[in-house]
Amino acid sequence: MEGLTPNALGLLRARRHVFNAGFTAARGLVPGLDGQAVLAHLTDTLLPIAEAVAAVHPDRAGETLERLYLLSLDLIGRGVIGPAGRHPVIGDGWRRLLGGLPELTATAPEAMARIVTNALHTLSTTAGTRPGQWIDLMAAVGPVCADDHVFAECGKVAAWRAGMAHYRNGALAVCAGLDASLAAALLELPDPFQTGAGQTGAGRIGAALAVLREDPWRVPAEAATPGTRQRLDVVARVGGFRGFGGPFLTPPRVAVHDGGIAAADAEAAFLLYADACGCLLVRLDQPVLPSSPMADAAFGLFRDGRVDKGGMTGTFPQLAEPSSWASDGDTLAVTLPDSHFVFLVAAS
Amino acid sequence: MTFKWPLGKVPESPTNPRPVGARRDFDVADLYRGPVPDAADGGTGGAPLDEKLRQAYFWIVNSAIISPFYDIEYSDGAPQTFTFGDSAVKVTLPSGQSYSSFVLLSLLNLIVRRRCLIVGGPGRGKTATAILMGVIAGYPIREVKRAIQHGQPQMTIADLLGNPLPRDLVSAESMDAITIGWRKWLGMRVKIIDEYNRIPTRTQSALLTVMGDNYAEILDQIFECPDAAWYLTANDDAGGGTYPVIEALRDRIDVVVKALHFNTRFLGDLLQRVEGGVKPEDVVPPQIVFSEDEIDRMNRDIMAVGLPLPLRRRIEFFCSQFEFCESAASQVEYMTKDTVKLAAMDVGRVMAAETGKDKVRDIGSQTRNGVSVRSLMTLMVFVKAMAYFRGSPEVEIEDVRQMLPFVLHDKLSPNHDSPFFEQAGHGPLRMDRVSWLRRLFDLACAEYDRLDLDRQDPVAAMEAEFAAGLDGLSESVTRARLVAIERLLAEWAKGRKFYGHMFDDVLKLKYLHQRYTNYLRWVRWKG
Repeated sequence: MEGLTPNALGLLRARRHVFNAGFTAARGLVPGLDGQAVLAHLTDTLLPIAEAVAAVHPDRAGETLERLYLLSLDLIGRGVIGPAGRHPVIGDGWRRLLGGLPELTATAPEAMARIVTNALHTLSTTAGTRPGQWIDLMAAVGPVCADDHVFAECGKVAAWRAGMAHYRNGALAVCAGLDASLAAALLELPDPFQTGAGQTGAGRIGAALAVLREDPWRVPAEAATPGTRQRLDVVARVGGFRGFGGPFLTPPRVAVHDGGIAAADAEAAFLLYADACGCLLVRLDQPVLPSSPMADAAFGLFRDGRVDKGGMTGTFPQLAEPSSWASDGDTLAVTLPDSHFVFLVAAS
Repeated sequence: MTFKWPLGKVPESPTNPRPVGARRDFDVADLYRGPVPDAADGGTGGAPLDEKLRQAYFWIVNSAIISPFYDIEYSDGAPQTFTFGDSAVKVTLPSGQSYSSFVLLSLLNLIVRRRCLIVGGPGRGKTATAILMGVIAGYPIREVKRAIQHGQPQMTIADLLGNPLPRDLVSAESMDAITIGWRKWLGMRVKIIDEYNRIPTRTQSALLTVMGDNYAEILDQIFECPDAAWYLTANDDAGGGTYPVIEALRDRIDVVVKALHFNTRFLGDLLQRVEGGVKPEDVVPPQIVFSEDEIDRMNRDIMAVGLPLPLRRRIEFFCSQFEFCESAASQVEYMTKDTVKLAAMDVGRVMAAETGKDKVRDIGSQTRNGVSVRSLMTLMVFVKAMAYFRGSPEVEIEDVRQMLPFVLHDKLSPNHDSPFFEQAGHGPLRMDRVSWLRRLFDLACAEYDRLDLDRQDPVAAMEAEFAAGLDGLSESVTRARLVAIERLLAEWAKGRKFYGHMFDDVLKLKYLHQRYTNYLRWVRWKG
């Protein structure tokens, strides 16, 4: 293996028999397990992580490498990680987070690998999310995390921030239980907020969380200084034609369902989750559009695309002649007869 | 039987997948459900423990063991059967999920913490399986291996239990002052005794105390052992070996399983194992390792599995067949095979002298003893464990049928002089106890159905009446119940034949009659 540091070579030599036996064993289960892929993962991902660990805990580097290697064999065999992995962002996550947070990795290598792998796998398989943002946020808060449990809690909030809109309530609850500085970092609240006088850090976070609970379209970074909503906007659109990677086969329609918004095409129905962090559709068991009465009349929609809400008015010609609309009080969902998208209007 | 390959992939949960509806409220913790299982929740993704148990089983049979056998057969609908050879050997392809007794019984034994004897020729993986169970119970492999007690002709009680400290032996002024260096294995929750039939008789007695009463004793010093799953191995099913196994020790063994032969069609896997140089016990996935608390919880869950009354009645009917021996005594209570044994007579010979009964149909004639209370308790535990393993809230008849042979394997001794074994095709049943016991249960069930006891069981009805209590029962009602008992006995007496299953019923009726008689006397006195 060319280009390896003497330290890395030493780590490999010390556990050579374990690595070889592990690979032989793994190939017994996955005959197609590619030796070159394992080597590439070892040199590109695992050895840099082990070297980062060696820099802070030389005595744990070998064991960390061994544990991550054995875990990797299974994941490479299943196409989760490695050069041929289905989601390259998982490899990025290992390198940036496991390698970038050697204290945590040295203490709990398997737990850290599980947290990073599973979170990035979930994000990668959920349309409309931003796994890269999750890595950025976790890289920012990781050095402040006391252990892998705190890191995992932060990951839940980061997942919401990265587009998992359906985690909103859970993430805000987790955020309330975190250390104030960690919560502020995850919400990307501005520095003056963190150093401001008058309230305690926890009090300020509590106030910001209250704002976020009230207003799903409030960007977390603005929660510390919430201004008054001035106007209505088309804040997002969600969906798309299945032929282009979207969920709908035919132009969808929307309806209120259980206090939320559901959208359905000719084949399947979905629940809509949308806020300032992201929008996504979660498939329902029943294939037909649930129909229940509108939750409230917070929004008014007119045929020419004009929308009213609490004294605010906006005109959106692109929403003229809608085929259906529904509101949960904060968001107005509108569909058009010739579009596979659901358009979302909210105060901004 | 040997082992297959090391880095096993744990079967993904759920093993019985069902559609799950979309949820309105999501659990943010779902973020971490993914390709890497969580060792903290047992790697089951928070799945119930029975699911984890199944995952452990399937990992062993799919990844750890070479050439598993599926001798515990369950069927959903009629299975396909093929007949081979002049002796009409039947090969059944079960239509339901079937199991390897060698693995399943060992695993269930780990959870219910009983005593499992693994028998079979050398090199069939008996000890390796026991070691695997130790690792699955959470012990480091090195600790498990060091704790194995290897039976050998020179094994002393001190080898088995420990030694008094030499310093104390010299200086102690009383027995209490002698400190014993107890062997570490005594405190473990998985205990492995390899080749137990090579242990000298005296040391076997010390082992009996540990197995039976959960404590060890040396020089008046006591070591209390925790509840543990025991694994004993022996090359010889009959318990033969360097030393004969004392009967009390054999009686303490709860289940017996056979390590079957190696199927040469799996030689390729064996070669791979040799080349890989890795043993399965070295690479047990952490997600199938059970903590002590998990095993405790499973134990409680197993006890909560229901045993429906109709099924309990079938078990009662089956077990009632064997103790009765009409010619053993003049008084009905003593008409048991035990009476014959206590008189140092041969049960087979005594029963052979009996006349007037169809000894082929009388399944009681096939055994030399009855079913002990200990065996009944073990049977109930294992049938519940089997139902739990299959994810069923209640025991089903097939659970009983499948577990019964392993529990009664060394408990119900066959009477080879019985005409049953002389019947065509029954010869192999003299040697194949598992099949014999299963046949015995099938015959008992057939008789139970013929007598239509599910619908017409007068003793059960009388039991139910009595269970409602005697408080406030009037004299006339009590008299009526006494008369009903007498009438039933009179009716049975007309049949002239006295079979095993009637024995316990008659004794039960006598018991009820006595209770009512005493009550009637009290009611009259109270006046």
